[in-house]
Amino acid sequence: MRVLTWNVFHGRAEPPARRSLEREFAAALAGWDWDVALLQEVPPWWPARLAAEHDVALTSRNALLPVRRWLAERWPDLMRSSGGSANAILVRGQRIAARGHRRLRLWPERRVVQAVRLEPSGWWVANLHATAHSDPRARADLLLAASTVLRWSGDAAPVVLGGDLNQPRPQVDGFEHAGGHHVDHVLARGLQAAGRPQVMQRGELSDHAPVVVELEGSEAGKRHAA
Amino acid sequence: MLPDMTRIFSLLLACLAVVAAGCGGGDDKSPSSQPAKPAAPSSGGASSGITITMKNIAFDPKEQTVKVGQKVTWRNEDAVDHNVVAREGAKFSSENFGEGGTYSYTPKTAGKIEYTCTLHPGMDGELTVSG
Repeated sequence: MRVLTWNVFHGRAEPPARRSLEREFAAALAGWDWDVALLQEVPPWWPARLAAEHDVALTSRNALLPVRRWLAERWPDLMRSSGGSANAILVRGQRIAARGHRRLRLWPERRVVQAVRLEPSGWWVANLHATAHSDPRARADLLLAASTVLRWSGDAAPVVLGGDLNQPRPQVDGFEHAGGHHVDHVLARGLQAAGRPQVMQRGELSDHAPVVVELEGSEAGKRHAA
Repeated sequence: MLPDMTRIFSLLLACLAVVAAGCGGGDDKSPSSQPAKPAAPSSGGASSGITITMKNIAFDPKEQTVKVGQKVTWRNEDAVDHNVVAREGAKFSSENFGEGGTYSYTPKTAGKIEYTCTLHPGMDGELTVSG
């Protein structure tokens, strides 16, 4: 399974395009080969238009969202993060059988871990945007997200935990590092990377590069499940 | 210029948010928190029903005695979806439902019913139905 993680920077480009780039982001995502996409800093109204099978977790600055949306669709570089924000999991080729959302913190910004159980694979896939500009907070977000997802998934199911972890070398008990780039990473339990992580060319879209990590069942995972 | 404008927008939105706070809304709702509609038979019980909570990936209580005709309701108090599926002694199977969602079943005959959440191996429960 190919897992893509991408912080989409509230749908903006670097340098600023000063217009909505929803079409460009959608085209980029549509053109890449992935089975699950973990997106962070997504305008909350985007995911339903990006994939039929999806899960959205609102994060911060979403009060009066219709007003924010109206403004952000016209002046995205003026509104920036004030245009509303969400994390999203997009799925191709499988169905979301179960969902879980847990708020990790409210301060300095609301952070959430979201997870879905996919069928028919039975894999759990979780998405996190950890707190920025604070290593201890980012670390705490990751630890709480990891323990939450492991509890949701039970002992045997393969688990993927990825996203913008805001740490260059994330480590957490129960997970192996499968691949990543800068602060965007994919961790896994019962799975292993099938190759090197692939950094996708996104032109000027976002201030983060999208990363694709291909995962396959590990021998350890198979023994664990048995 | 841009940062100033952003601050002005943020301030404006913050003020509007405070005004609107009394009208409900906010950003805490997630798609998974929509309560599920009961999907099981719920015929009038002979006595008041009982509720079994689903919390911390477990049924509480794990074992429960009920009477024939007594309605049993499972309520999900976890932040993750669950379901209720009979393994032995009865035939019922709920859809997956999220936090705040419920599922009800009313046993018609005495006996022992073993059930589980198929999403979470080891999350099992048992009903003893007395006549």
